[in-house]
Amino acid sequence: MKIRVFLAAVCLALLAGCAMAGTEDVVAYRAVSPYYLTDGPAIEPEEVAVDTSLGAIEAAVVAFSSDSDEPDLQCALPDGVEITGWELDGSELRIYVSPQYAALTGHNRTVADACIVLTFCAIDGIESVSIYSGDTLLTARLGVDDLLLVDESGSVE
Amino acid sequence: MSAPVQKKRLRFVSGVQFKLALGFFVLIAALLILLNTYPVAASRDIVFSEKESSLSEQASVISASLAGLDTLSGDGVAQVMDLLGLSGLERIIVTDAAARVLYDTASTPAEGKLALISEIILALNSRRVFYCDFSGGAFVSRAAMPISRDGAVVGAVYICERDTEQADIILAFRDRLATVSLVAFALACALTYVFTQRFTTRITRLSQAIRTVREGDYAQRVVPDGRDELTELYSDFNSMTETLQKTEEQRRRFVSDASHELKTPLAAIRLLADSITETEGMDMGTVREFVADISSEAERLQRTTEKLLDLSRRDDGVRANSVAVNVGETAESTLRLLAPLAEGNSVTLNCDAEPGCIVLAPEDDMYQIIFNLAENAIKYNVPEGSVNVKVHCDEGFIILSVEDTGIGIPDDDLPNIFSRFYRVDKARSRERGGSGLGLSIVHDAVAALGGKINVCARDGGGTRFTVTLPAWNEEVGT
Repeated sequence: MKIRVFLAAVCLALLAGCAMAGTEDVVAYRAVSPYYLTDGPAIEPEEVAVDTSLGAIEAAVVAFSSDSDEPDLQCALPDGVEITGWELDGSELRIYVSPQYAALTGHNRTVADACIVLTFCAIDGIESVSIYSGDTLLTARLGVDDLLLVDESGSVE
Repeated sequence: MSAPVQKKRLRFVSGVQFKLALGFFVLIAALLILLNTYPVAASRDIVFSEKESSLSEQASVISASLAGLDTLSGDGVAQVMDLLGLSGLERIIVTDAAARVLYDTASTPAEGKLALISEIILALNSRRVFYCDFSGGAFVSRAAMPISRDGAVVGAVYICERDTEQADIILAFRDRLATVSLVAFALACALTYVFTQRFTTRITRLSQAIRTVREGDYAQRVVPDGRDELTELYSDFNSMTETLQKTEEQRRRFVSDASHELKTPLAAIRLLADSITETEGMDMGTVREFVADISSEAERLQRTTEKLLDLSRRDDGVRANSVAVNVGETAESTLRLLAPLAEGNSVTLNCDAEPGCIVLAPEDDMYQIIFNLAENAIKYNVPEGSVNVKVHCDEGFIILSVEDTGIGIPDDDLPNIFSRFYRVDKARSRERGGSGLGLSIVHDAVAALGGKINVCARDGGGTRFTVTLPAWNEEVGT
C-alpha cells in the first residue's frame, strides 16, 4: 500500500514538472486597436505562454495566432486568416498564410506585416521574413531595420 | 520625554497661537501653490493651443500641396517640399497609403521604411492628429494629416516641432514665481508669528489680570491698546473690576458703619448698667434716669436693626405683594401718626393730596417712603417751621413732594445722602435718634417700584424731596 502511494506521488510530481517545463513566455506583436491609438508605436509586444515542446518557430506561430488578453491590443491577422506553414531558409523565414491575407491593403497590411516580422525576427538566427500565400509572394524579405516604430526626433536636444 | 516637557508641548500645540499660525500657514501655502501652478498651467495651455493651430495649418498646406501630385513618389514629394520651403520643424515625414516613408527630413532619413507611428496610422485612417507635450525643457508638438485625392487617402503627412524658446520663457517665469513665492512665504510666516504672538500676548495679559482679580486684588486694571474687540474686552474688564472694587469698598464701609452704629448704644447701655450696679447707695431718681437712658438706647438699637433687616430684605430682592395704594390717603394717615412728633418740634404739617393718585406697590413700602421723608423733614426743621407734603398726578406718573423749611443740606452732601449710614451732621443726627438708614430705605424702595427720587434745595431755605412713581392704570391693571 505504501509503495503504491509513493509511486502515485512520484508520478504526479513528474507530470507537474513536465507541465512547468513545457510552458514559456513568447513575445508576439499585436496591433493597437484604432480606438486606443494615441501617440507612440501602432504595434505593441505581448507575452504569451505557449508550449515550447513544438520548437521556437512553431511556438511563435501559436503565440502570434492567439487572441490577445489585452483590451487595447488585437491579433494582427484578420478573422479567417491563419499561418498555414513556415520554412526556414538560412536567416530568412518564409511564412505561409491563408489566401485571404492578400485582401489586406494599405496601412492595415503594413501593420500585419510588421507584427509578423517583429515576432519572428525575435527568434535567434532569423533576420528577415517573407510572406507567401501558396506560391505567391505577398511580402518580400522584411527585416526589423525596415520598420520605423517611433519618432524620437522631438525628444533629442 | 519628561512629563513637564510633554505637558508644555501639548499646551503649545493646543494653544491659540499654534492654531492661528497653523491656519495662516495652510492658507498661505495653498495660495502660493495656486499662484505657482495656475499661471504656468494657463500659459502652457495657451502655447498648446497656439501650437495646434500653427502645426495643423502647416500640415494642411503640405497635405494640400501633395494632393496635387499625380502619384506620390519620393522625388515628387521632395520637389514640392523644396518649393514650400518650410523651416523651423524638427522633422517632416511623408508616407504613401501603405505607410511607406517617401520623404523624411531626419538626420538619418527613414525613406523606404514602413512607418508604424500611431500618428501616421491615424492619419491614414482619415484622422487629423495633434499631440503636444511640455517636458524636458521643450514643447514637443506632433501633427499628422491625411493626403486625400478624390475622396481617397493616398498618403499621410507627419510633422514634429521642438520649441525650446517658449519653454524657456515659461520655465523662467515659473522659477521667478517660485523665488518670489519663497520670499513671500518667509515674510508671511514671520508676520504670522509676530501677529499671533502679539494677539496671544494680549489675551495672556487679560488672563493674568483675571487671575489677579480672582485672588482678591480688585484694583487690577489692564491698559487698553488698539481699537479692536480685545480693546473693548479690556474696557469691559476694567469697568467690571471698578464695579467690583466699589462694591467691595461699600461692603466694607457698611460692615464698619453697622458695627459702629451697634457698638455705640451697646457701650452706653453697658456704661449705664455698670454705673447702677457699681454705685452703692444710688438714689432712686438717678437709677430711674439711667434706666430710662438704657431704654432709649435699646430702642435705638432696635430701630437700627429693624432698618438693617429691611435693607437686607430689599437687597435680597424679597418683595411683599403689590396692591393698589392711594398715595394721598397714605400720606394723610402717615402725617397723622407723625403729628405728635411735629408738635413736639413746633413744626406745622400740611398735606395737599390730589384724589385718585394710585400706585401699584406693597402698602408698607409706600408708608416707609412717606414716613421716612416726613420724619426727616420734621427732625431737621427749625422751630415754628413747616413740612409740606403734596401729591398729584402728571401724565401717567404720581408726583410726591416733601419739603421742609429746615436747615437744608449742603450741596457737597447731596450726592451721598442716599448712602447707608451717611449723615450730614453726625452729632445732630444721633442726638435726634437718626440711624443714617432712612433715606437709603426710601431710595431702594422707590427704585424697586420703578420710580425716581430727586433732592434739591428749596427756595427760601430747606429741602425738597420729589418722588416720581408710575401711576396705576385700573383698566390695564399695571
